[in-house]
Amino acid sequence: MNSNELKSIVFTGKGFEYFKLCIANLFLSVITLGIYSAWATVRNTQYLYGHTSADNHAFQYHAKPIQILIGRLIAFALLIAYLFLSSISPALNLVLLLVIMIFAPFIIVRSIKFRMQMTSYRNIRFNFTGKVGDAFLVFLLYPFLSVFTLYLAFPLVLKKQKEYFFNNVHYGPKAFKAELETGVFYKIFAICFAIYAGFLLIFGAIFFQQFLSGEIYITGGLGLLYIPVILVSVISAAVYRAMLWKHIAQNVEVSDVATFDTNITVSGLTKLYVTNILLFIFTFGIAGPWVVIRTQRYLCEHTQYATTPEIEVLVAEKNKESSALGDEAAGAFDIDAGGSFI
Amino acid sequence: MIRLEGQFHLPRQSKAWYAQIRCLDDGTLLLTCPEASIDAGYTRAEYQLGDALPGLPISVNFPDESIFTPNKDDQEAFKEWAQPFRKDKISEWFERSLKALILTIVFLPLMIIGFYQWGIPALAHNSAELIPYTLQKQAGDETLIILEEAYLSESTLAEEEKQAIETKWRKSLADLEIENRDSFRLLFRQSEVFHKNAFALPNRTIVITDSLIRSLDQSQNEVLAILLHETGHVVYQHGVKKILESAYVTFFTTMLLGDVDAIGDIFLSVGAGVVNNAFSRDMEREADQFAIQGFKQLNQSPIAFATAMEKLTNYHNSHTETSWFEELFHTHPNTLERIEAAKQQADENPENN
Repeated sequence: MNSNELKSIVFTGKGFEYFKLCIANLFLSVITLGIYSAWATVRNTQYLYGHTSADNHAFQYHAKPIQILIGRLIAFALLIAYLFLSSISPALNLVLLLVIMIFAPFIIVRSIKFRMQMTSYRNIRFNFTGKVGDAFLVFLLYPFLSVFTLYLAFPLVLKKQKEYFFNNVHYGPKAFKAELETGVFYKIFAICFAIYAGFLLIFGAIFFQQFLSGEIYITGGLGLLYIPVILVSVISAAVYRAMLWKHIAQNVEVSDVATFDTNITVSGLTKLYVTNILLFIFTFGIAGPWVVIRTQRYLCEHTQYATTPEIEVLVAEKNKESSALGDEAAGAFDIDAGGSFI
Repeated sequence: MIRLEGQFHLPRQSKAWYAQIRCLDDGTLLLTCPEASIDAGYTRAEYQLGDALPGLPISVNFPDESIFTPNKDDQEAFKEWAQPFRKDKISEWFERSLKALILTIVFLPLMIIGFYQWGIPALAHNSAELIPYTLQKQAGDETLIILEEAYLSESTLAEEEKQAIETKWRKSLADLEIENRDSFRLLFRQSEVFHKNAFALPNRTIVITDSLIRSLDQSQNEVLAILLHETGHVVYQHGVKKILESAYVTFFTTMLLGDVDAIGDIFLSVGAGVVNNAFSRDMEREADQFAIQGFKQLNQSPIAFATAMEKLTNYHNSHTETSWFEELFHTHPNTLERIEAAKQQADENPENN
């Protein structure tokens, strides 16, 4: 590909500005008993997308609040119906869970599709053409089968999920292409596993030694265990995200149009996560908007792209409309679509 | 009239053309894009203004899906010109103004707390009435089947004792004119798992264990006190309300906070647990009051409830206050508080025995 040089994605969002936006939206949502929340979601997302730009072109979010509201109300009705029917009899509960599981791939596909189609860059919309059958395999069948391998096959399943996502995303007429290596996924999991195992060994050894010597310094019950556990989880999450993002950025391209890279580091991401958590805890969640902005800024500034001249002359077909119900149902029933780039 | 310069995109095309727009005072826009050979006018009704977000330009969306974005230098001027025509002014004021920020910071916590404390229970109370009893009965029946199967075994109390307890209870239901009392059922059971316990199901069935009965003094109305407490749960439909309250908490929290990451999720779960416990404690207090007021209406002393509580909990629990922090994680109010509530009501009517 004849590309221009690598540049970083630019993020111009500001913490205090976003905080004012979020709190205003929260206020309006509360006084309207949640109805305004659809508008709130759209505006919050528009802010984040609009302040993310490459080559002075910003991303845009096009969802209409009414779509989101209708999707939410339907999802809520389904949720209430499910809660009631499932509390009537355990047998019915099982049946309903099965129904949800079977519908999950369908909901996942609709959800990703909606989010992609509502996103544009340089006035060209994204799209997602993944098949529901493949979603079923990748999000339901393979994870289920991996249980029988004692989860040893899970890195492979995750690779297939990422491939499914990226190989079905389109930027206008141009398809994304992902060439991921299974080996890298195994390496990532092995390292994270080692971190946890190491922690357990060390902690277990300390505890055991104190137990033997008769003096237990770790009092205050298991509550204190939370802190080291959270710390280890954060480090592990940073390792996972950094390594995964690196592999994905360096092996995904938009055919003929763009390639990516990243200089994200494990230490950088860890620092970000730890400071975010501390910020969040010590402000009782009020710093939430700042956390979002900091994270977005870090990820953008550490992700690079290179485009070809062809990006300036693209022409797209009209996308087939998709409804917001998929996205909202996914939210209501907590079905992790993983439908984002990170 | 103002003049803008900016980028113009033809429908679904990535090419960004240089374009100019002249904005007339009546809302008409005159668009010129020489390189794309466009020279057109659009009346106010023919185009749509994009949303105004802090720090971002307002774009112009034309009916054929082409789009114009003003350059940085012209964004402020355009915003000003567009003032009379924009529809999201209220939102924008809230997002931008310092006054709104102060208003929000002051009122938002109050509103949220108020909503969770009163709004949701009120909502649950009203919607519980809409749930037909047949559904509640079914839920209760199914639950009972499982409990009988797994946790409950036959009672070993003497027939006379059971009769005495049930008769006294049914008489109080009649004296209190409880609706639907004929469909209420009382089941005596033993349980290895539940030990000394009593509970009520949405199918108007109350289950009480032998060990609970044996640790109380039946003649002093202590068993009746427990039964009236459980009856309160049935009368107030607490089973259904708990489910509804939980659903509403989930729904509104999701609506308000949208998508949360893993850490936020942990906090939300703990938060939801705390909120649900608060509802649970309120319902326990309601059931307590049902029993206490019931006794007063029957001209019996509510002290029976206090002595029953004292017998059921150990000395430590009935004589200490719990800190507000610990209480967040309890499903029942502090025992001392419940005993005091009963004693206070008993003292108010010294003529009772």
